[in-house]
Amino acid sequence: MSRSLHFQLTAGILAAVLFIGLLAGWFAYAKIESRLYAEFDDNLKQRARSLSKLIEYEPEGIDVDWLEDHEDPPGHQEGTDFVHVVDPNGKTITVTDGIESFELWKKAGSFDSPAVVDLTLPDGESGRAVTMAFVPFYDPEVEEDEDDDEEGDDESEAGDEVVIPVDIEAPMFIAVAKRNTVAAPLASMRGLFWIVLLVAGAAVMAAIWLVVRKALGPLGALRREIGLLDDAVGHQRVLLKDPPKELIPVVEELNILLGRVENAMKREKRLTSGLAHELRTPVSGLLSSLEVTLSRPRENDAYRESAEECFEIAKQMHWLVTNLLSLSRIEAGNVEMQSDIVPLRESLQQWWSPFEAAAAQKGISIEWAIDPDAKLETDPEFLRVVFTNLFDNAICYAPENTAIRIEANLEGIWVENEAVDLSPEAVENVFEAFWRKPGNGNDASPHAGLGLNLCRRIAELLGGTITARIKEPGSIFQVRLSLS
Amino acid sequence: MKFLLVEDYPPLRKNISTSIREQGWAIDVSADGEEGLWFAENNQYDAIVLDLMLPKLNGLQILSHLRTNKITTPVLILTARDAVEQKMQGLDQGADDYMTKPFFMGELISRLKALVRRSYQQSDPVVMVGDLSVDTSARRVCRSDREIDLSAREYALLEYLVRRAGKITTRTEIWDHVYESYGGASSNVVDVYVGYLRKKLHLPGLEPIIHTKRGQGYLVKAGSS
Repeated sequence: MSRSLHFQLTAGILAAVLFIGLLAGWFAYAKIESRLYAEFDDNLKQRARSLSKLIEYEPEGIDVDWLEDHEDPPGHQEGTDFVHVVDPNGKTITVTDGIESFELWKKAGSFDSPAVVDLTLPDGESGRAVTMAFVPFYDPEVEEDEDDDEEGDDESEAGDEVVIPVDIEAPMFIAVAKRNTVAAPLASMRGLFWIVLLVAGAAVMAAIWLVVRKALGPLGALRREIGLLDDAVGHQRVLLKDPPKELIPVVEELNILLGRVENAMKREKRLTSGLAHELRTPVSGLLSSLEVTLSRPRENDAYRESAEECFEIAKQMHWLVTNLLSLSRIEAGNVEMQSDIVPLRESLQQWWSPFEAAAAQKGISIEWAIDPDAKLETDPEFLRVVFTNLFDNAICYAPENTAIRIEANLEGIWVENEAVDLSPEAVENVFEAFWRKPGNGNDASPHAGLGLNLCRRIAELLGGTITARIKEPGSIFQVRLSLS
Repeated sequence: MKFLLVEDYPPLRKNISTSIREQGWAIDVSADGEEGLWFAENNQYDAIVLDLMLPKLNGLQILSHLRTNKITTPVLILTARDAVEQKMQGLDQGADDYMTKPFFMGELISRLKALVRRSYQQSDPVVMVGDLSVDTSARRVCRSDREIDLSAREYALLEYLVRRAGKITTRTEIWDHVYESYGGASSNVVDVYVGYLRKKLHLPGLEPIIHTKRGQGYLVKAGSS
């Protein structure tokens, strides 16, 4: 199944947008979470440090300041604020609301860097605690006052009197926990973030879909324009109104291609119509000859003459059809090239010999100027076709009692004949299919104007060139074949 | 009847001229446009068969010259080009008919006969002069329903004379219309062939048809002149 550009673009852009959104969202969330928790934790740490300052070592033991007047530490809020103070031996000095079981003191960090612990509070809510070790203040010059002596006991939160030998170096532990008031909003924020991401994602997807569809609109327009081209492409071209920059070169290339198709179709049409046209003349010759001959009883000589005339005409048609078939095969790329060493002198003279009689009839003589060592490595059969056509052409157009000259060396092979009324402009067209010299009735010569066209195609196939020019003085028509 | 053929393709040139001569008609032949135009301007023809693609001067140019110079000889264009534009151009330039190659000789001959009839304003192929009937399409001559056998040349001469029935035809006109331009014929030959015709047509008991107008020519008419 072929890929959909629309789908790919939409999916790609959406994935990118979602990915970036997720990344940005995650980053923002992380920052917010970190900031919130930092603040929260700072508060906890502040509280822990503040409370730790209210705890002193005294000779008779640990003095927790707030326990003198209250059970709870200052700022305590029932259910949301928890404190656990533990002596150096791990014994609870004071604790609020049952966080003792968490043994937070065992995870304590230092005074400067308290540990932060997440926990589930006794009421099931999530909480967050800061736990640290600290060394309480100890002033050995503090005197006992008479009240303490009279009462003779220390008060403690738990009601238990703790009289411990004071090791002023030993750290105590305090853990301060609060209900995690950051978690819930963060959870909401996360939830909201996902919802926003989904909704925004859907909206973005729809927007991208529409935008991409609009952006790809010119492709649809291009397809429609191409669809309007009918089979006879002709001079039709694709016209896109206001094309996007990316499609301009595509349309240009397409129109160049259409131009090439048009030329190819014109060439083919020219060839086919040229051929049909060219066949009319010999067919009319055949038809008229046979019809007249058969219209009444005749002498044997008359029948013979008619048969000979028809034979000549049939040979012309054969030549035409053979040349055309060769051309079609070459155009279709349906040719197998051979390669052989072709000795030029021998081959050219051999190919000329069938034309000797026709030349003699017109009083045309032949001059040879062929380098005896001249050779070519090429396809001998194709080369023969070229020279057969060149010789035929030369004999046809050379005036009576003139000479044809054939020269060959390493630079090339030349065939020259005198030309009558051939302008330099006309010479440019000699290699076009079915072209005839202007003013020369197309019925006069049996040559369909395909011979030189075929020579050019073969020369190209053989990797060479064929050119023609008028050589002054004397108006000599010269064809040169040059093969590398 | 005398025709001009301007055609450069040798087999066609030969076969059309053979065919026309075998009808008993005269035909002048040219292979290029310049010579063809000269023939057309300097001789009288009953119709011209004109190829379009000719050396030196093409058929349309010849046609244009003729019509500009008010030469109204009927022209039948003969060409391998059958595109509608070419046909229209030929007819618009003044051609009277158009045939594309290849074609059947029989059709060419019939069309030429039609052109000649039209130029003589005789739509009926059978020309009647008194009891003489000349079926120009079947080349049959009858007097009082008796078929008369004529040679090709005699028929050609009679056909020309009956088409001009009621008008005096000079020897020169006969010469121009029945004999080829380089045929070497003389007015004596005209008189001889008129004599042959009279011998065959002026049968005992039947009125003469061909009358001599001294100093002028001949007149074909029913009854005595």
